[in-house]
Amino acid sequence: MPAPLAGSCRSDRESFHEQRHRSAADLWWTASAAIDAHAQKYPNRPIRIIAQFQPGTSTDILARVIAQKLTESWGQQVVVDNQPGAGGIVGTELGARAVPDGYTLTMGVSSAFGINPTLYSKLPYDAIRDFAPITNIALTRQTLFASPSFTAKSVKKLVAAAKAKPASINYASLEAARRVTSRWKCSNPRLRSNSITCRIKAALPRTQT
Amino acid sequence: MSGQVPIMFDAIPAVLPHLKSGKLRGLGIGTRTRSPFVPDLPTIAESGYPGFEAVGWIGIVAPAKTPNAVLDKLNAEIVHILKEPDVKQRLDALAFTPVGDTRAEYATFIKSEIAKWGKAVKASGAKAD
Repeated sequence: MPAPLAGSCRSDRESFHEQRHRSAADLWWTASAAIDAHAQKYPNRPIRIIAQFQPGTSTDILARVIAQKLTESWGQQVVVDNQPGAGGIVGTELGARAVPDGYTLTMGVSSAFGINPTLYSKLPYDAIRDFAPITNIALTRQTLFASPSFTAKSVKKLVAAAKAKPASINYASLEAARRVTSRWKCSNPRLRSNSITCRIKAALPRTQT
Repeated sequence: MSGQVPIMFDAIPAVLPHLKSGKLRGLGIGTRTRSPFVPDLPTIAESGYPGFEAVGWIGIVAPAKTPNAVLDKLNAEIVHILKEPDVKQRLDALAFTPVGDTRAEYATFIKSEIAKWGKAVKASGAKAD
């Protein structure tokens, strides 16, 4: 009985397609429901914010302000985890490898996310591919300052002194020495000088005097 | 601070107390306009280097593939927090300029910063140790 067989084949095929559609739809629905449920329940356990610099630094201060307020709003403990080292690379790498469930967040600092990717040919994280930006919290104005005993009293005099006596002035950055050196050297070609070298590579806490 | 290193570059929030106490002297600020926190400190641009600008930024990110709904919830809450009067006051006192932009705006901003510093680093030939 070829006709019924053909008919039955066709209907089998149809039901197979329907089933495939249905199962794809089911899968999609289940997945969205799972994500919705995750978001609705979020957060239902403590959240960790990785700060790439020491307590007392700008990054740490902002992380703590946000952590405290999120704790108050959500009734879940939000803790700051200071992971300093290598100009922010250590903490940022930890953040990149964390489980993407919203329970480990990382401070999106200009040194680690804006400048390191341009300075290092090899970084243990990809500032774009490995992260989902949430929001920019605040801007900080960079200031050039000196110890009161330093002879140059202005930027012009400093540049003149640096050019007159190459490699005579030690220069320190409180956040990431390497990036600031390059920023200092290259942001304005007229400021380029080989005389400014870096000696201190650790961030200095705000509380330290 | 011990006097071993005569010059440094850092964000205002970290150095403000030391500028006020006289332990450090400001030479110039790396923004286009003077800071209301240290109005007497000239900008580096006005000190004879027009166009000089160095602004740091501090945001918050999650690992890639974090669910969108979670990211939206975090964005909404943190943006709201930044508008709260006590937070604004605290950030003001510490010389931060609050932002609180959207996820897309922050993502675009990070890319533009990488492009900006990429050009500068290439032009200077600077390399990390």
